[in-house]
Amino acid sequence: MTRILAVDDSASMRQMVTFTLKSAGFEVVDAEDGVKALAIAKNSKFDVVVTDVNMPNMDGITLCSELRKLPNFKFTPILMLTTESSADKKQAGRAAGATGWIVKPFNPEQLLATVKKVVG
Amino acid sequence: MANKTTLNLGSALDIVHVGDLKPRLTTALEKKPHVVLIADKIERADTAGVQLIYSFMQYAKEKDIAVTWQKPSDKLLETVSKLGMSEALGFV
Amino acid sequence: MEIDLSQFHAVFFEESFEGLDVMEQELLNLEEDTDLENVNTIFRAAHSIKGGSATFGFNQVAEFTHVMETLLDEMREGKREITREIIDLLLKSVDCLRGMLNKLQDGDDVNNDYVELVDYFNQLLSNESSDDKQNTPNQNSEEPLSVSNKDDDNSNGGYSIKFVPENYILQTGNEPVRMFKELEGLGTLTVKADLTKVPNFVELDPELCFVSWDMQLDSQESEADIRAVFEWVDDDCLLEVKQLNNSSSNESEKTSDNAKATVSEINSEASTQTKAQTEPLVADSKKLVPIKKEKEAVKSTNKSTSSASIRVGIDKVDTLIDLVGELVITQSMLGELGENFDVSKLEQLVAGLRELESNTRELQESVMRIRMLPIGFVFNRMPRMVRDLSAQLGKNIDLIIKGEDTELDKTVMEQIGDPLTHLVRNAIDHGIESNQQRADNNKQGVGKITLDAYHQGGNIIIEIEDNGGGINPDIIYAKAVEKGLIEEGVEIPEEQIIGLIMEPGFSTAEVVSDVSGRGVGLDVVKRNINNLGGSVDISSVVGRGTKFTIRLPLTLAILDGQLIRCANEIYVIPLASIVESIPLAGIKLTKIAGNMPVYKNGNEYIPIVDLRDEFDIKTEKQSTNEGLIAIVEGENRKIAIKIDELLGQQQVVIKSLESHYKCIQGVSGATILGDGRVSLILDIVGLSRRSADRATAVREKVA
Repeated sequence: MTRILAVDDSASMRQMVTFTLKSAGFEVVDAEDGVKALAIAKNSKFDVVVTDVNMPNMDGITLCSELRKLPNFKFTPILMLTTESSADKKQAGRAAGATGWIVKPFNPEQLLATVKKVVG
Repeated sequence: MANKTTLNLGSALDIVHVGDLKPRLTTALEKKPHVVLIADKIERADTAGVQLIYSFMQYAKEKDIAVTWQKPSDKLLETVSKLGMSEALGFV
Repeated sequence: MEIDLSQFHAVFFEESFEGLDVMEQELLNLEEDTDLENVNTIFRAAHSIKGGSATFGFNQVAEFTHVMETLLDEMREGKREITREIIDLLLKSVDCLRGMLNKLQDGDDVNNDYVELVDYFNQLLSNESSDDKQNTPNQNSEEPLSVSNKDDDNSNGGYSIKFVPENYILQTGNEPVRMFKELEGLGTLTVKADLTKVPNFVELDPELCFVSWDMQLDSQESEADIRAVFEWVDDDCLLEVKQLNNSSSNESEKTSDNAKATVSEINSEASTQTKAQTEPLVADSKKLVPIKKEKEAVKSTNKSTSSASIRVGIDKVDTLIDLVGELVITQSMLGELGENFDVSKLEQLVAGLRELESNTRELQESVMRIRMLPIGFVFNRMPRMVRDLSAQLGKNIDLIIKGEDTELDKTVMEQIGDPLTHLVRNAIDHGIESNQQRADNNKQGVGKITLDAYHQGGNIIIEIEDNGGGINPDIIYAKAVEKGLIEEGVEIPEEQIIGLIMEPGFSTAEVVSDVSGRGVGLDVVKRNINNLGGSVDISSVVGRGTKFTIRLPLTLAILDGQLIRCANEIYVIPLASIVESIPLAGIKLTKIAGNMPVYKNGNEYIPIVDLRDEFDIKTEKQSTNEGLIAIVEGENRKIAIKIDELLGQQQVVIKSLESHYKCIQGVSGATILGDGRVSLILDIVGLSRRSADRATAVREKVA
């Protein structure tokens, strides 16, 4: 089964993302910041990572570049949840090795469509 | 059959596995003048995997070593076709 | 798949309120110390609320937080100076957002108060960032696609696409196969790989991509749609999208295509409107939605009454799981022991039971701890209030908060908030002198209010201390005499005199001020605290300051009880309410008006309550010399309860009588004793009121 790591510091967004992906039959593990996500990632394999950008302790950009250093995440699609206004964040995300982004606000259908693009 | 080397590509011909696959391909070339790629189990394939096989086939041709497919899976055929490389890999 | 987003609303509101609290606190910190990390935290909180509100369709909140976020971003980037005005504005915005979210949570409409603030933000933002604007074209050039698309919108169905990715592209997780699949979704695609750049096998780094592609796409979609497929790799490839149309038909195509564009615009408008129906806050669609709105309001009110939630730290849950694990082990050990028991194993059994007892106790304590929250939740409201009020009154006041991690029951906390706020207001208003007065009295330093909390036994102690003028007992005494609360000339210890300021109808402030409110006084504070099973003491030194000490039970679910027997019934009296107990044999009972039996203690007459009469217990009359009276106090009123026997003291778990039976005056709940019997817990205040009512009734009968 396709495993997804979902990272967001906002509980409601995390629940929404997790619930949506689980409803679509994905296996989802969630984390509330980059530090926690990285700890989970170190002991596990995922097919996709979906992460927020602005988070305490470790933001999504840093998480992305840290993940790329792990052998298991060298090529894993990493999607950033970002707001339209932050064009430079998109750049930073790309520089850190992110695959793509989902622009907030998004609805469950948009999220699924985007994730399905990268799970091939 | 003695002059054939078979090489099983396993279930994934993708970027995660190309690093391991390349030395295996190299070894296969050193042995026999005919390499058979077993591809029936392939469930994942991507650009990196297909590119590696293409490069391998080119190199084998230079060395007069024949490369043939055994039972390429539908997934492999589909990916190669999407990449516009069916001809290059000898599927057409 | 249809996912109902409203299921996430409760969590969204909860975290947004938490976020606002954090913002408020950090904004106040910002006044002391403009630390960038503070600004970051504030930014993140605003950002989260913005993201959530936009996702869940609370568009006004999203609109508002968007401008806030923009300003915060400038502060974060160091482009904007952090001034008191800005902090004021942000604090006001926090208040406003809190109000908006409260309304939305209740299913109400948001009023337009926020618009003014948004305007103000926009003004502020446009003023100084005008030179910024000149930089922005760079950013805007991010989206040249939509512009170029306007010109080229006259597609007649054919494109040639050249896609040359940078060789590192695969390492970003972007797979050309995925993009080509997407293109196939737009029309008929022919792909040809250009393999000329693929290196010799020996030299090939297999993780890099050396292939490039030439494609033909038969499609009615716009160029922008095609480019959108490559959006994520925009900067990581060379992309050419060319139209294959022949110029002769260009003109007619253009017009028909313009028509098409209009149609699709209308379509997209229509689709936003349908969306808006499920999100009743979109301004444009207001006319469409009133019915739906009402329904939603009903739904959300239902929700808010039923589901209060609590967030529990993982460590607490882990402890519980560990304890349950131990309990299971003990249980299986005991089970095995019981299977083939003989007397030689008695010692093991006793040990096992002891283990069980300790497991149970620990489990009970840990479960209680789940409901425990740090008092910081309440303390954190204070800095803002102190800031605003002291400014309003022109006093310099420092607030010092200690012990904010001290935990107490959620229910107790919810109810202690208001009394505590009142006491702090009181300290600011009446406690701390005006700057002038302080100067006149040669007092050093600024006014200081200290909040502290700590555990003591099964209680939490909360202290509110100020270094203000203190309370003059002479003035209180005079006031009390004037109000008829005490008789002139009666000697009362000083602390009792000061305690009088918490009596009903007692106000010493010369002027009823705006700050401490009118009518609601310290007596209400005291009553609320008493109702929680707590008490409040005051100590004060004239010229030096005043200290209120609140003592509260850690939880309302468990009570330290004194078991008593009356006839064949066993009752529980809250231990904290018991003043003393005296054997009936040694005292003299008198009767006053209306044949009410009272016990005279010094110059105090304490009415005697006989539970046999109150609860109609049918037994033979006991002789007056047997048994004893327990003097108990609630809300400053004492009564003496006539009982037959004092039994043990123990902690009892309170079960609500109201939810299982009905509310009875004089009984606060019930508990189940060790032997399985149900025992009623006496409510001292209710009981004393009940007996007073009866006394009045009897008196009236006599008269």
